[in-house]
Amino acid sequence: MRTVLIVIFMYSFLGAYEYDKLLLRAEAYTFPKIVIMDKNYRQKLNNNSIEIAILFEPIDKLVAIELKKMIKDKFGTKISTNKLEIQLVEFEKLDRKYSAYIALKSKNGILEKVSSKSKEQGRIMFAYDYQDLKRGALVSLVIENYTSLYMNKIEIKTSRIDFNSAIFSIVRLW
Amino acid sequence: MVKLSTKVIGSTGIIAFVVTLTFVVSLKEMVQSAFFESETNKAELVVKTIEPVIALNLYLGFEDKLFNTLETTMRNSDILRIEVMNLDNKIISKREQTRLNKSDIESSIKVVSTLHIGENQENIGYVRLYYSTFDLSSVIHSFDNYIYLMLLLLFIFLFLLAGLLHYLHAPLQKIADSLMNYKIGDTLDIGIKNSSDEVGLISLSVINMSKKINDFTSQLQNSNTILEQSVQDKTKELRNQLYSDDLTSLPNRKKLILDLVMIKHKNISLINIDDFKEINNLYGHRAGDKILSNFSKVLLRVVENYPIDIYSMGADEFACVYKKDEFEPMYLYELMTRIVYQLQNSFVSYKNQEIDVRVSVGIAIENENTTGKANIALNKSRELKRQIVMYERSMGVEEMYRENIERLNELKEALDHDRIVPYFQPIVRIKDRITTKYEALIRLIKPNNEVIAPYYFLELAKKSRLYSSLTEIMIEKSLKVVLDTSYEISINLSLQDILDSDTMNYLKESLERYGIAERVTLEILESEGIENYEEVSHFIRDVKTLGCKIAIDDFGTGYSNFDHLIHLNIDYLKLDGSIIKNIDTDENSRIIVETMVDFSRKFGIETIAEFVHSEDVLNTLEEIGVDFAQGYYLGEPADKLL
Repeated sequence: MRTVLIVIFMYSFLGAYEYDKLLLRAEAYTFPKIVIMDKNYRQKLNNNSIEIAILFEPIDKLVAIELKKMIKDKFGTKISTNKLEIQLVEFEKLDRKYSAYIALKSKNGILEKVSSKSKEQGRIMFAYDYQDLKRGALVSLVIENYTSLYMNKIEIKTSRIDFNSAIFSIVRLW
Repeated sequence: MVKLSTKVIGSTGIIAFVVTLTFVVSLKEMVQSAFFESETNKAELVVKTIEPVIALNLYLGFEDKLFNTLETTMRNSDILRIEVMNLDNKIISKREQTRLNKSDIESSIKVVSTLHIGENQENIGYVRLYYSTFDLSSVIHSFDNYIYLMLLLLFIFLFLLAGLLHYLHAPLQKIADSLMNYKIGDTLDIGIKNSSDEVGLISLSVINMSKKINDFTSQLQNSNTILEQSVQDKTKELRNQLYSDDLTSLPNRKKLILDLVMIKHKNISLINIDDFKEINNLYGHRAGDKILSNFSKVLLRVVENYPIDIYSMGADEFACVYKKDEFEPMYLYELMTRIVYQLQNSFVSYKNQEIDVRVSVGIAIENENTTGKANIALNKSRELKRQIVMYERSMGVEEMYRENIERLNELKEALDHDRIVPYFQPIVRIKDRITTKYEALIRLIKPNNEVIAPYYFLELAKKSRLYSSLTEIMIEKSLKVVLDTSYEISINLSLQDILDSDTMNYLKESLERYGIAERVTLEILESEGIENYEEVSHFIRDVKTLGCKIAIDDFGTGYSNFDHLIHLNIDYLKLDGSIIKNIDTDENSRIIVETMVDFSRKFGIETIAEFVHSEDVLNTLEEIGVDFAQGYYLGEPADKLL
């Protein structure tokens, strides 16, 4: 019994990222929409689809699955006039380009690496945790008094992503 | 009367009011329109500004942010309401001002914009904004106040202008008042001539003009006075000419009539120079005038010591009027006797020759028709061969004159109304008792159709210049009646007719016109033939060349020279009624007629017996051998041919 509790505790400690379902849902509803706020998003399609990769640590697989489900529930297979596909990809197994990335929590160094890649690709890196913006993510969402979108102002400058200027009227720059 | 200042104010006011009102209202409309457009632009700008944010928040589902955005936008108090709607026009989010009236919303500017997102500009909904027009209303209200203020200022301006105009026109009114009461001759005093502006100039000019008018009027009055005097002098001269005789310079008949009116005891003594015609014939007319002039001087000298006025009555007649109011008729008679005596003992000279002048005097002391009665007295003096005769009522000629005037008027009226007509009496050829001729006898028809015989008017006509008209009417009407018959016609002519060249010309022209001269017999009285043999003979020769026949009328009453009769070349002798009427009973008459018939027959002259009144007379005439007969037994004069 004790062992079980220790395992659960240690598992919990090890997998101690807590995910706010409300935030997840908000991000599920919002992040795909932001993808098409990129003026050049059509050039970033995979097989004529907006293919979003949910990047996760193995411990967060369930969360990733849930996020994917939320997105699917919200948007189905289309967003705007474009096909939408959601892929679940572990951080370590990211080996190709996607239209955009949604990064769940990760170990140190992992997110920086994939953010750098995404930046090279000119893809948007969404982060579940807005703290990950300082690790190279581009966009994140925070639920404060209001739901607020945050953008990494340094990455915006250096990225090759050309957002619709309207978005800057609602995002906060971090 | 509408004053000039009133007209100016009135017209200025109307024009200013209309212009101002038009201007202000137009301006108001323009401003209102511009302001409305401006407010609309503002509203659209707001919408454009918030639209992307709203669209994005709506797109991203950030309803709280959307609400926040709307909330922030509503801080602008001009924005009354914002509504965000989905594609089905269902309001998703709405914010509005508190205490909003329905009228505010209804009067607000509404701007609707479609919400787009993404590069595809995909429609995701609508935003509707209600923008307040309160500012616009304020502007309009301000404008209205401005209009009222403008109108008030305009009114004040016009009021002041009216006052100013009144003040400026006052001198003109003063001038007008002065001129209104101005009479020619007055000295005009307007009292503003010291003013140095136009009004002063007008005033000065008017005063100068009035002075000139006065001067001119004065000159005109002087001229009028001179003219009046000239007219008076001329009138006097003409009057003198009208009332004085040219030859003797004595007052004339017209003056006498005027003066008689003023005399209480009217009297005229007419002095006529006896046989003045002989004096004229003896010395000539020019000498006669000179003698008359000298006579008038003698007369004046004779009466100079008496209260007598002398008048020239024309020709050789003078009138004396005794000017005393009271006198006895016998006194005047004796006075005139003395005057006549002195006249006839005075010398009337002509070219150093003494002319023996005798006068006749007729005196009338009558208040009515003094001149006429004096004439009657004068005529009486000639008739009785008495030098002086005083008019008495018993003289009876007054009645005759009155009757003559009445008859003359009747005659004139008859001539005017064509009531002088020929009546025709048949002349019968005795041997077969056939009417071959008619004698035309003049008649006057009165208005009541009474037929008047010539004795009533013929002698008067001879004296009154109407006679020739009667003859011409008889010629014309007689010829006209017999024209279309086979009868002969006898027309009576007097010596006066024969001696009147106009009448003779008319006769000849009528004979030629009608072309029946050979059927015309012209009857001349035996007595006139005797007395004027030469003239009658000449006349007979003339008319016989035209084809006329000649008859001697009333033969047997005069003392005809048979030799003369023969040489006159007559065609008929009309035996006077006085020797015919008793021919059947009086042997002497028969013998006379037989002698006349014998004589006539020897010279180819036919005889016509007048006044045949019975069959016995006619039979006797037939026995004797008279050719024609005329008389009541054979036919009375009638207006038509029988």
